[in-house]
Amino acid sequence: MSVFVACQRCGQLARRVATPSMACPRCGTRLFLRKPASLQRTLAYLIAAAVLYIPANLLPIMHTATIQGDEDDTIMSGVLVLIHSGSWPLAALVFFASIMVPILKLLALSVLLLAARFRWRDHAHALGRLYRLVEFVGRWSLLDIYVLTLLVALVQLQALATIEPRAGAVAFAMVVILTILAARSFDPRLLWDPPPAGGGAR
Amino acid sequence: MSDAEIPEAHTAVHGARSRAWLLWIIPAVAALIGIWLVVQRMATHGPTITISFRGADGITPGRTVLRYKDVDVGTVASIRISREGEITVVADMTRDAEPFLVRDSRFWVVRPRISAGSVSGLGTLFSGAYISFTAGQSSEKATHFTGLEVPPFDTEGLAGREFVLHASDLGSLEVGSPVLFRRVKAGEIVSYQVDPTGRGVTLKAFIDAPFDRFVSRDTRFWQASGFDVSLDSEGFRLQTQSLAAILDGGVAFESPPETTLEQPADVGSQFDIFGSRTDAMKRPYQESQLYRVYFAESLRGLSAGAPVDVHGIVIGEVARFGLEYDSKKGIFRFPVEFNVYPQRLRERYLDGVEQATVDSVKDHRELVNRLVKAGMRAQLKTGNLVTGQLYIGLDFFPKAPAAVIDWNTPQPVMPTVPGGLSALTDTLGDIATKIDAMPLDQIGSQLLADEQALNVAIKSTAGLVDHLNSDVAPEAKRALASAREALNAAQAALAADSPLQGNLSDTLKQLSRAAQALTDLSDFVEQHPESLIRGNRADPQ
Repeated sequence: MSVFVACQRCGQLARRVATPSMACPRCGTRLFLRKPASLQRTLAYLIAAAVLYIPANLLPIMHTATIQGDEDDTIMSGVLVLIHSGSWPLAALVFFASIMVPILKLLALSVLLLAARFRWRDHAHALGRLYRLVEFVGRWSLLDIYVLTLLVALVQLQALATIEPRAGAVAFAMVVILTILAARSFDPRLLWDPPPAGGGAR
Repeated sequence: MSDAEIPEAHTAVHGARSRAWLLWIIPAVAALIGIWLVVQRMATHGPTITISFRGADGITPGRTVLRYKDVDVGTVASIRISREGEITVVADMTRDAEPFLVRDSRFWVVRPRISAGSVSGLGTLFSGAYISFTAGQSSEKATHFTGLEVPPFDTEGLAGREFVLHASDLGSLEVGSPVLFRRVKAGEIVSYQVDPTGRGVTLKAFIDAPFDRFVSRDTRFWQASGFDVSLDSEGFRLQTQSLAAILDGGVAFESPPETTLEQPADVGSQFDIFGSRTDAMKRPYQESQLYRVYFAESLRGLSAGAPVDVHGIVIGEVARFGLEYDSKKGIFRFPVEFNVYPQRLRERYLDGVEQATVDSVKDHRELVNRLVKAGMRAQLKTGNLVTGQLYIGLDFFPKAPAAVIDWNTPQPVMPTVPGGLSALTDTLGDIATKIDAMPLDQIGSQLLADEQALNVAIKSTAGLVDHLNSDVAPEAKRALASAREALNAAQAALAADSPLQGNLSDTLKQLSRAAQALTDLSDFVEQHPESLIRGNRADPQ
């Protein structure tokens, strides 16, 4: 084990001391060599996200009441509407950002978890890039929610047209947030940690 | 920076207690939320139903909604076409809709309907058609329905009452046509169907509250469709209802003025729809007496419904007329039957005058008997010289031959007199007939014969005159001359200075003296009657 430990918050490097828990000498953040219970935490978030992914896609995220009638839209029906109206690029973007990204993130995090758990060190480099990608792309999935909040706020034309969020939006937002949390609680350093002497996972 | 400059980590204030188990609350909560959302979704997700329609115009899977009282309670999931070409719409209903999906629930497609009277389903212009339905009364659940092609009228939950109307034909009425009360829209036609017998149309009208209380048992309904143009003995009349009704048709109703609202009609009461307001309002007179009359003149211009009046007051109307064969006389007769509504006459009595009491049929008959005795007769009159429309007038002809009414038949025969104009025609006809019957030829030949005889007479007369001239006249002249001579002689004899006259005068004087002497003698004899014996002596004294 190394002699130093880096602060995750301010980057301050500190010399390890033999206490049960350490704190950053500069900002007071608690210092860990590795995030405690990283894998469990990630797994917990991951499961929660996976569970909510189902209602997020099945339930309508948006209720549109216009003089044309009332309509409930799920993410997928929104994509279909865009396809029918000929907006292929937009449909592709929404499909990618709202359906593919969350599921890919879930898959990627699962792979990372497995890799960390079972020390697939041969692919540590590729896995590290995967992790960075997941962390980067995570917030973009909230694009949908962002657009929805804007629509809900703006389209309040009473009788003419009203848009309301529906339960699916809540589930979807929670999926995105949970995957972000999962990615954050995952400690990528586990990917390249050598197998412990005892052979068990940390 | 060397290793020595790297500070030591501080000791954290809090102990590093392991709370890893708390992490698992997160997926548990997530699962709960997920389950809750799904359960909530499932809770509002009701049964799947199928509805068969003849056509799927305007129905789009996933878009077309099902509405109950304008609330979305389902969505069309798919449309199937059977091999027979029947359209079956599969719809996912919400749980809210479940209680209304019973065996006799009715489904129909709502499309925009624009008529002069109303615009409905306007929302569907933009949103496309939707499927609406009404809940049935049955308690039996159902999942398959047959859609209606014509939207029914949902009266459920509306204040008002439904009535049944009968008409001979639909006219321009249709579902949704207005029902007007004093030209205010009071309801609408909710359904119609041809009677099972095929002899008319039965309509259902829903009258909204508060107008429904104006429907009493003897309320009259009539077709207010468009224009009511009539041409009869009263001339040309045009009646219209509201503009919407003109364009769209409708039914109007009104109660006769004497009706009180204390007898509101029951729900589902049956009424007839009359052709016009006049027809409708004519009928409240239940008390009526049918009479039959036989007119000698042509009935051209008379029509059923033509008025029967007394001095211009309409008291009845012609019911029908036709012809009958009198086998005894071997001729056709043309009976006209008319109704008299005594009530109408009664209404016209002014206050404070003596009224004929016609409280019963018997009274009525007695009254009519008296009137007929007084000379009341039916007469065919011309109401309109231009159109030649006829009506029946009851008038008094005291000189008419006596007649009595036989009340023992269902249609007592009212005695008639020829009508005014036709009476004139008749008289003229009579004269013509009489002239026609004169033996003019005979008279002519007789005259000719007479004339010849006359000629002979004239000739002999002429001979006589000639004879008179030549023979009699000179003789007469002579006679006259001698007569004059005689007269002249007489005159001369009688002249004052004529000798006859002088002699006569002397004679008369002598006679007068003789008379004087005689008088003296008689006086003397009276005073001295003895002288007759002794003679005249000197005065004794």
